Amino acid sequence: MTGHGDQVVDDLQDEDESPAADSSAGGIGFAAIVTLVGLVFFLQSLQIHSQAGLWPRMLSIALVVFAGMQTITAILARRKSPLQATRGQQPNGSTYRRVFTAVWLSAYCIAAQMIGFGPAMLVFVPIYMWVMGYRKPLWILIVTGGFAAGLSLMFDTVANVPIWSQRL
Amino acid sequence: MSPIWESFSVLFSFNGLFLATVGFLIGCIGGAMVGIGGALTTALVIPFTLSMTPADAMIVLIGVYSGVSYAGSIPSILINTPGGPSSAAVTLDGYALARRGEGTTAIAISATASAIGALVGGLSLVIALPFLQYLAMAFGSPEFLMFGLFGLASIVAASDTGYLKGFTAGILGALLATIGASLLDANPRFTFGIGDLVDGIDLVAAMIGLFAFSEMVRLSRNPNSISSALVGRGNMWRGVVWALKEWKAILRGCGMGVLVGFVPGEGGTVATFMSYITEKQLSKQPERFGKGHPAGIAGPEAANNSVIGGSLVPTLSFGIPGSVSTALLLTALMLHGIRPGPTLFTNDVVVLYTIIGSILFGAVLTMIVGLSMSRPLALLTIIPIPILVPLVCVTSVVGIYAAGFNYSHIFMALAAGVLGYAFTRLKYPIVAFLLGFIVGPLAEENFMRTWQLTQGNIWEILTRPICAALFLMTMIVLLRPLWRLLIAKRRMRASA
Repeated sequence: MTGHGDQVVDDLQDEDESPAADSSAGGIGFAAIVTLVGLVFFLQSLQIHSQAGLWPRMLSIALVVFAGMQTITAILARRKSPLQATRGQQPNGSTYRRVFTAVWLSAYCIAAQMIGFGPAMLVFVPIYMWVMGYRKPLWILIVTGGFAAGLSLMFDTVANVPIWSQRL
Repeated sequence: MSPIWESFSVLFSFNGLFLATVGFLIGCIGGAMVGIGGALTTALVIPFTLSMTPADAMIVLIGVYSGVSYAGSIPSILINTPGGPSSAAVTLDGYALARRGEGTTAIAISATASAIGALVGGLSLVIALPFLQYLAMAFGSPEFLMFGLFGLASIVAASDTGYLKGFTAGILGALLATIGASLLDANPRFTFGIGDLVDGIDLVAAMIGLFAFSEMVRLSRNPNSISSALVGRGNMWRGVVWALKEWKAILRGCGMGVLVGFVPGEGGTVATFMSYITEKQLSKQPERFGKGHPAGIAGPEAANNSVIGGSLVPTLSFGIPGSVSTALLLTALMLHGIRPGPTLFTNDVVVLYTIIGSILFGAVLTMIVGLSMSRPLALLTIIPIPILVPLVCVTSVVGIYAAGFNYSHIFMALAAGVLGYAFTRLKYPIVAFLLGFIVGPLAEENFMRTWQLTQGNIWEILTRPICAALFLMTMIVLLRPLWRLLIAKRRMRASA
């Protein structure tokens, strides 16, 4: 790979979007959770007495081994260089926007189940645009209206999905 | 009617041409929009294709693939931001050319080279077909099992995230794929009392969650639009002429793309950078590279698009996808009840030839539609993020519901989104996870057959020549990076 090419790609990432270090709390936590998942699947597979338990048993053992090694490696790296592990961990505007987007998406999924995709969209899309700093009310209305029309055409008409039904 | 004529009559009917063009345009839109890319675009389109015939679905999806492969270079050229990883190499000379006032010229070079690359990729698939059919017939369950392991090893070795992460991701994918009714006795496994898990984790939901939801959360970090695009100035026809003058670079790029595409896990990114390095080294004016040399665009773009045909070889023959995009194409095939392997060459040969015909037609569309749409596509690069994110999210949510009419799939997708975000932040290879998830059930089936065949003595399969060869290739692939590391350390010690 050309080093210049790598540099171009690296320059395109903000500092707060650079990958989290393996030795960060998130890195260690994730690897530990995956190890735990492997362990849970292994214990569950022991309850399967037929040959249907063989393949998942093998996979879960392999997962515990690899994810466990990743966890241990990350912990050792953190003990070796604790400063590197905590670099760039302060929450900032970018973090709050990502959290908001994740919460907004989850809330939309819950709301859409209760009131329908279309009605939920009419509320949630303008809210998102406004909260994320888009301050052009006319364009918000145009985009929301246009999207509602497009959604109806794409899904209601073509795919027979009830966009405007209240309960799904 | 012979299968070739039947597939061509499907592709070149009004319906087929319409679907191919629509798919291509959707791919262009998705490819030109930074943060969307090929995998996400394909994942979003798949739910819409479920009600189509398999042949029509492949026409649309190959059209999307062709569109994305071409249009990913547009933001690379105009705003120095690749539309996808395989378009990163084009930023080096494409953006430099755009800054000199030749943005449209650069896009035209890209379109011309992309069209030729796609044509060569499609033809390589045609040439390889008779050998593929013979090879696929020679593969039994043990061979498919070994090829699956080789595929996973290749993808893990090709990623720069290390073996531990690569194998963790791949095995996690395969393990999660075991949730639901067992293939052997249909009893539910690992449902933890949740009724919605009896049918397993929905593939469409997992894909959209992994790609769409996680990417939108990542993209939302910057509320502004990507900086305004350079006006697409320049001359389209000049770009075509410049591209044709670089015919050697294009042919070399095509060769690299096809060969790299054959190897699972390598994909377009490797091929494009290999092409760029090669052109720079062979050029009589290497100092011009990075400043707008046409070969710096033509070679990588040809490689990027010829990968399509090459990567479909292991995908269609053995069910081992060469890249994320081909993994999604494989998903679509399986959702339509089409299994890769020997039966594809006998029972579903019309679909196979439709795929090939769609790739070749995609080359034509790239040249005609791609060139004429270059200026409107350039405008897509400046859609503000606060508009893009909610539109993609809502479309994704409804699309997941449309695929299965089961609301629990949406919550599966949310969980997959969390996983996908964690993978991206912590640099775990998503393609390894996807390979494990998609190929896992097939691998289990082949493993259980092999287990019964060898009566539990699985190492017996190494006495079969193809299995032995695949085992050797797997070891080489896994040990090669370690060998290089050893050599590099020795050199460092020697020079110190």
